[in-house]
This record gives sequence, C-alpha cells and structure tokens, in this order.
Amino acid sequence: MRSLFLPLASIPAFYTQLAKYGETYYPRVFDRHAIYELWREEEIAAEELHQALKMVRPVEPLKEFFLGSRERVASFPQLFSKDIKPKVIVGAKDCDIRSLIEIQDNVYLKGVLEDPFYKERREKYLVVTVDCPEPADTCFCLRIGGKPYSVWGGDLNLSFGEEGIIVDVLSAKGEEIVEKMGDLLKEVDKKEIKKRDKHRTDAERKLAKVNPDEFAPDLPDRIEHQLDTTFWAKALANCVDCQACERICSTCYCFLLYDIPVGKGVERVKVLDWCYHAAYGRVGGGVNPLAHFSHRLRNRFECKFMAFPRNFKVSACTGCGRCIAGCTGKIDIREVLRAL
Amino acid sequence: MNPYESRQAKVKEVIIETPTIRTFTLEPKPALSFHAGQFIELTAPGVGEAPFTPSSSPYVEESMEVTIMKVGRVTSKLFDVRPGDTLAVRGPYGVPYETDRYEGRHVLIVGGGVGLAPLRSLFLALLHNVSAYKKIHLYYGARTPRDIVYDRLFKEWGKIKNVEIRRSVDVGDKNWKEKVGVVTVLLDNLPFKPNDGLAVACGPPVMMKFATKRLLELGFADEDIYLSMEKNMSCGFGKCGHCRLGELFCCKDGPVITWDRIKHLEDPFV
Repeated sequence: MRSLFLPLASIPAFYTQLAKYGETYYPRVFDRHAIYELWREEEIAAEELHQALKMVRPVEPLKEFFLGSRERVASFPQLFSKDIKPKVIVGAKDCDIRSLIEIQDNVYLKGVLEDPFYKERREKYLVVTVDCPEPADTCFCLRIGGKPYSVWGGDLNLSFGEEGIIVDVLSAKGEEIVEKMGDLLKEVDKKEIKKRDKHRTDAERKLAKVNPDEFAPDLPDRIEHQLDTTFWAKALANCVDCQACERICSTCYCFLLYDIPVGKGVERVKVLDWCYHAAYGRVGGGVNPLAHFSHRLRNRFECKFMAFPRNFKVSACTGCGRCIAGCTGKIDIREVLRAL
Repeated sequence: MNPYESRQAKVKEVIIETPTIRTFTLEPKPALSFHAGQFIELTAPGVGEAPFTPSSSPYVEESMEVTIMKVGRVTSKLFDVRPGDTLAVRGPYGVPYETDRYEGRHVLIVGGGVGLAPLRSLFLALLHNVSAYKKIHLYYGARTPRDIVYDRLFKEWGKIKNVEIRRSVDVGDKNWKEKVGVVTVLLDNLPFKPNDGLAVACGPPVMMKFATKRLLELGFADEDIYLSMEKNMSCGFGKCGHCRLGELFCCKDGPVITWDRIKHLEDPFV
C-alpha cells in the first residue's frame, strides 16, 4: 500500500479526475446528514466537500449502488442483456465496505451460483472509503469487528491529516486511477500521517466511550435459545412496523423475484424484500411460519446474529447504526442484543 | 450465465389426478436434467414462479412431469394451461436424495396428499435399480379415496417385486377396503427393523411433524429420516433469504433435509 497527499483545495479536481473513470458519487451535507450526490463538476467550495467527507456514514447504505431496490434481471421469451457502466462511489465508511465484503459478497458471490449483475458491479465500480473521525452516538462498529477507519476493502481510502487528505491506494484498480492523476497527488509528509493517526485514535476512544460494553461472545446461542415470545414482543413494544430499519440496513440482502407481463412476454424483476413484511415467509396455500410479528423480529436477529455467523464466521451487522438513527420507535438494536 | 433466466417448456400433456391435482408433462428446450429430490422454478406466464419438485423419473431426460395442487395464484393460473401451451422453467436446484446411502437397506417412503409427487420421482429412480435395496416400502395417505394421487399407477406399482405398498385415507367410502386413518397408522407393524432401513417423508407440515415423531418412536436414527421441507423459495439458489431454516437454506441445503440437521429448531414444520 502506498500513501499520497491531496491538498484540501484539490478535492473538486480529485472528484473531476475520478469522474473520468465513471459516474462519480460523493458525500454532501443535507439537513445535517451526508447523502450521496452525483458529481457534476459544479463549483462547490473545497471546504464544504471536506466537511462532508468527515461526516458519519451517508444516509444511504452502500449496497444501494450494488443491488438497487428494483432491477430487471431476465425476460421471457425475448433475450435479455444488461449494460453495466463503471461508477465511482466516494464516502463509504469502514462499516459500509465491510457490509459489501463480509456480507453481500458472501451472499451474492459465493455458493452454488453467483449473481452476475452484482458481480459485474463489484468488478466495475470503484469504492473510495473515507475515515470516520466523528462517529455518532448510534455507531457501534468497534463492538462488532470494525473500526472508524478503513485500511482494506476499498480501492482508495481517504483520511484526514493536518492540512489535507491522505490517499491510501488499496487495490490495483485504485493504483491505475491515481497514476492518471498526474501531480494532483503529492508526497505525503510524516506530520500528516501523525495527525491522521491521532484522529483515528480519538475516534476509537469516542466509540469506546459511547459503547463501553462488549456484546456477549455467544450471541448465536443466546438467540437460538431465546424462544420466549414475550421477550421479543417486549423488545419491539415501540415498533410501529415502518420497516425503516430494514430498508436502511447495509447488510440486509433479501430479495423477491416477480414477473411483469410486457407485450407478449414477461419481464422478471428483482426487488429488495424485507423480512418484517407479513407475507415474507408465506408459502403457496397461505401457510406462514412468520405470521406473528414477534416471530419476524426474532427471525431478523436470528438471520443477522445466529445463522450468518454460523455460516460465514461473521455477523450480518457492521454497527453502522442506521437502524437506530432511523427507528421511529427509538428501538436500539444494541439494547436488544445486550438483553438477550 | 444468468441464473434468473428461464428456458421455454412446452406442455405436452395434462393429466387430471384428482379434482385439485394435475400432472403436467413438460418438454423444456434445451432439456433440463435433474436428480431425484431436486426442484425447479416453474413460471405461470404473467403471474410468477413457484417451486416444484418433478414427479417423473430423473432417468427420462427429454421431458419431465410435475404434479401440482391448486392452492394459490401461480397454481391457479397453471390449471388454465392446456397441451401445446408454453411455460418456462429454471433449475434444477437443491441437493438430490443420497440414494447411495440407501443401497442394501430398506427404504420406507411416507407420503401424504400431493406430497407423493416428489416421492414418486425418488420411487421411480429407486426402481431403476430396485435390486440394490432390501425392499422399497411405499406408504401413502390421502384425505379420501378421491384425493389419492396416481391412483391410476398404484396397481402397477403393487405388482413390482421388492416393493410393498400400504395406503390409508382419513375418511373412507363404501368401496374403500384398505386402511382408514392418518398416514401414521400405516407405520404400525413395520415389516423391517428401523436400524435396517431409512425413511423418506413428504406431505403437509402437520403430517410431517407427526410422521417424524412416529418414526423417531419406532427407532429410526435422526440422520436416517429424510424430510422434504416446505418454505418460500423465491430464487432457488440461496440468495434471496426467504427459505432460511435455522442456519440452512431449504433451496440450496435441501429441500430434503435429514432430521439431525433441524431437530434443534423450535418447530421446523411451522
């Protein structure tokens, strides 16, 4: 891995260079939250872009770019093809890149068959991760195997030094991109690295303060044996079934296929699905193993913290805290896990 | 390869088995070969897909039969299908029956209602090499005599050497001379020792639950009870998440799963 230096004033030029590779999305602050926006080479102050990079993870999970909430995947009887163009996504935090590598890749790239559309996007899209120097109170990556900074998984990583940004090159694709950037990127000074390391330590300290306790190491067993429906009913007492937690989750991966008649043929569409839907588990004839909401809540915890760790040695949660921030009923997943 | 894509399948024949069950003979192009126990996703044009296990012999490659009960949206549409119409299929998915493990042992097949359909595929596959097994015992239960699937075939199957057949109905009629009662009544007085055989079951969830209970009482080993698990299988290859059963996915780890792999779950048959 090599590191380079990007002066703050050059952030817009950096985005413009990235945009030569493909449509580039970058974080921008809207109503105190970071959201992804398409880079259109507008005149945006470098400092504004810098502040947006420092924000906690963007509202949208990274999977939105790789899975999409709705996409056509086949047609019948006519043939189907898909043109997936390169994209650059700037602003993913460690929790987000881990949601791709540790969760979505395990689901969509491993097993008996691969999802060809996800695979092509993983090959063609460039991910620029960014350190997370100001984690929110809802963040708990540190307690679930993550860090507030990324040293692997993306193609480039941006971190914050004394006077500018440190660009770590993390992949061959990333190397190819920075090579084309000419003298935009400079040699990095030791004092910049030192400052960056301090930011990282501070962020870790803040996370540890917000989340003082570790989760129980035997969460899979605790979930397996927690069969008391009153426990789950109590855990979701404030739930209004808005499903925001699932829609915003960076690791939820479920989808549903359905066919739409088009002319004399049929188009097959894949839509992301949510296990809180009453019909999620229903089979032909109407039998529904997840008819009760408390069963569906337990099912979600079982999927993330029991089945996934047993199958892939990692929880299907990266501690991004979106579900806590987005919950209408103020339910905190950390409290449910600790109560188990 | 696009795993979401189906291939065309012409409907060659439609056989009315019971008032609510029909068998469709399909000719997929290109041909779709499968092993007993694997399933396909069958498309009812314009309505959607549903998973079905073929009911024909896996040794017949140019066509496949699928026996379907009319229960929901997709199956209702399939009942409008006539010979000559074109459907679409993709697959096969799932893990086949481990028939190598069955050799030299008694094979007890326990079916309830339309659950006999996937078991018929296994039964026909076993008949292909019938002398390899000590005996094949086909035990089948239906609600009434008119609900019996493959009634047209039982007589012929009963004549096969090395095959024992028992049937029951929940409610008989004046012509019914065989057993009356739920399918588990057929498990009384087994003609072989459970440790000399294995059991394969498929049927409605409640039947599976009580059949498993009875098989365990009789002394069948956990790993010798093969159960066809019913879950909502949308993609068929372990991605969509719907058919998760504990740590397993019915589509890629099943749909036939031995009891030892799911017995720790609260109620796998719900």
